[in-house]
Amino acid sequence: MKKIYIPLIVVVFSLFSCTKQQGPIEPLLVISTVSYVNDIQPIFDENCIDCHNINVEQHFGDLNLEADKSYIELININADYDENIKRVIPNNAINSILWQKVNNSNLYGDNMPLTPNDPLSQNNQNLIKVWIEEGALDN
Amino acid sequence: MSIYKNVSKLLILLLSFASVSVYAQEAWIVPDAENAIVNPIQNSEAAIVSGQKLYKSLCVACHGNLGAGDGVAAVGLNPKPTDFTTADFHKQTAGSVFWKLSKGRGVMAPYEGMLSEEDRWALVSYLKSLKVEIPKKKVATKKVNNTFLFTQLINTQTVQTLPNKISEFTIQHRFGVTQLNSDFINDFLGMDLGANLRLAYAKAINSRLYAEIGRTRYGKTYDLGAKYLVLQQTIDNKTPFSIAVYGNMGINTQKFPKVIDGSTFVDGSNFSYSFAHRLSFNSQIIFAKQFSESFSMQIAPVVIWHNLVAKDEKNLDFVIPFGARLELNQKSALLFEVTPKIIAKNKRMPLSIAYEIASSSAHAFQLILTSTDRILEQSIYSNETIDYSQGKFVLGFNIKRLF
Repeated sequence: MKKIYIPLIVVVFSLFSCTKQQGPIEPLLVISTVSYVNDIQPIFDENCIDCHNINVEQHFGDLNLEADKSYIELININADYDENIKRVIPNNAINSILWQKVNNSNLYGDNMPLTPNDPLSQNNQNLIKVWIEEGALDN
Repeated sequence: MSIYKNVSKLLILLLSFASVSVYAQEAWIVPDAENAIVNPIQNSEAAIVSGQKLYKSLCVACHGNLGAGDGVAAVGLNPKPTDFTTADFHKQTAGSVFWKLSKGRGVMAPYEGMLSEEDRWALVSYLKSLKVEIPKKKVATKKVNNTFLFTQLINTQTVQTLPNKISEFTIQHRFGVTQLNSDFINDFLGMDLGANLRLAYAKAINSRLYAEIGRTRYGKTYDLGAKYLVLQQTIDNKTPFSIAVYGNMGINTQKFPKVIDGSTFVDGSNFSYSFAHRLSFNSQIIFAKQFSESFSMQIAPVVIWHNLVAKDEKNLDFVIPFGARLELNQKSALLFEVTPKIIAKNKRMPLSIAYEIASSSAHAFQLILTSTDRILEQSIYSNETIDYSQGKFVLGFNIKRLF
């Protein structure tokens, strides 16, 4: 009776076929006008708010990226650890911490997101860059 | 009845622990006059049978079922109870044995006041009827059972399986990534940061095979695993090490991220997620050796397979974790793990050390300093190891319980 377990385990394991696949490769989108509400906030919702939310914000750079809160916490706001650098400077992605962190530049400590969706897709990175260069509008 | 027996065995065990440590063993000299006394009932069949009855109720706890001095209560005894199956024992005269069991010494009770003279002679008759065992045979078959205490060392698997019908429950908890600066206190050792947690339940199918199921927070991952002990080290080192095989399948149950239309796999076909993409596999063969009762080491080539990986990564990873356990005393041990990555995206070696506090071999608490906040091996080896050269680390603990 006990011997039944052994074939059972083998069967359970072999039920799931192995695949050998890599991806996805996303086609690069041509980005013209970026909407904060429709394009940027969904990126935060999917990749950032597990940590950057109202409940735990004090431990994660004092930053809350939940909808309705994120915009005011980003635009021209100083990083909590250094008053000389800003999270987002409109029209200036290169000097915005947000862009540098998601661009994996290693300039400002850990790149984001940390885990488990590391890193942002190229399209999402481009969206953030273009949004900042277009003036970081709340549109 | 059997409960009463077990309780009395336990009491004898406890009493012997209390009294035994001070006792230094000297030669037990029997007065010549006593030595010369001949068994008045002359080893009759009836005497042996009644002696055996007395033995089963009074002596078996320490001296063992077959008289080999290996009863359940003998575990903590030093000196060990007399082995009645040795030639040395049988060299003694009946009078000498009679005198010794009458007078007692140390943990060995004096039976003078408890048993009649006839009963004591019956016991002597029974003991004298026991056969001399050739000691070589017994030693040859003894296996090394406790190379490690549990089925996992810190993060890696050990050769250890579970005793038959026994279950193991494990809680593995890792705090967030921290370093020794003001954040260390502010975030309380990393405890305030995002944490990872795994609960696991393992159940023995027999003493060589067990199956387990676990759930890890990262990736909302369920895992199913099984381990089989192929070869077990023996005490005489004729089999010099143990070998076990272990397999585990991780099932990531997190929502798949959105992909935009027109995405493709690396081979050019249209990209879409399927259930198979949630699966990852961990197969390994573990070689372990117990060098002494307090020091064991192991090495375990591990093949990790992910059904789906990001576009510039490989599905297969190959690593060789090395682990060691050094027992400091009966209650504590140091554990160590290092994992050279042979085929992997990032070659920095995961490192872990732990201090294990075990109240018994069935229950332990491990304090861990490690370089990864991942817990499942497929996740540890396929992801980047924390950069400990920058002083970053993860603290955590494991709690283990056999029942």
